[in-house]
Amino acid sequence: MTQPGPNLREDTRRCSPAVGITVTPEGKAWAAATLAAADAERSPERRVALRARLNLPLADAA
Amino acid sequence: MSEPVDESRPIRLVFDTSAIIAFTRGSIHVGELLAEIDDEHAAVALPLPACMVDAVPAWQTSTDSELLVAHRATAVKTDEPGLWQALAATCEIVGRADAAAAALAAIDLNVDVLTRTPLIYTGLDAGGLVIAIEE
Repeated sequence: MTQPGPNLREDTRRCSPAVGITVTPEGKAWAAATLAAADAERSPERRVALRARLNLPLADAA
Repeated sequence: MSEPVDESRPIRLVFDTSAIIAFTRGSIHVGELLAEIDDEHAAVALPLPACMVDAVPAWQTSTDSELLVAHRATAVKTDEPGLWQALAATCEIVGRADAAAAALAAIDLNVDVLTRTPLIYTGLDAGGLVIAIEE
């Protein structure tokens, strides 16, 4: 009889260990800092220029 | 785009093919970012071409894919038909359809691409578009 898999919609913390990833508080802190740094680096002007270069409608901008 | 179960979650990051594969191979940094985004009550976008087409051969088991696709903090994103010209223009720059889909999704959602292959994207924004996965 097979064990039921983790219901990831209910308990997402069981997902990473299932593929061999153990998330630590230090790792979470690193991730938060990484996301914050990416946010800080993102330039609205550069994104507008990039959208224009790709002919991506500005109305879709977030 | 398929929405996370909780549709109030904003998309915070896009995983490209390399990031999806890295997750299924146990990349600690990918797992940490996904956990943090989940805790922020946000979600990761998984572009359909990258997720379903290019990453599948690298998945070690079908369970790996199910774990990521079924995660409450992920949403599979399809290409918008109306943006095909932008997708083609992006593909011309990055050289790969899957990377183009990831990049265009990130630009459209005003977020970044998580990747193990940041050099692919340098033609778009001098690297400012990506978060590179460290070894």
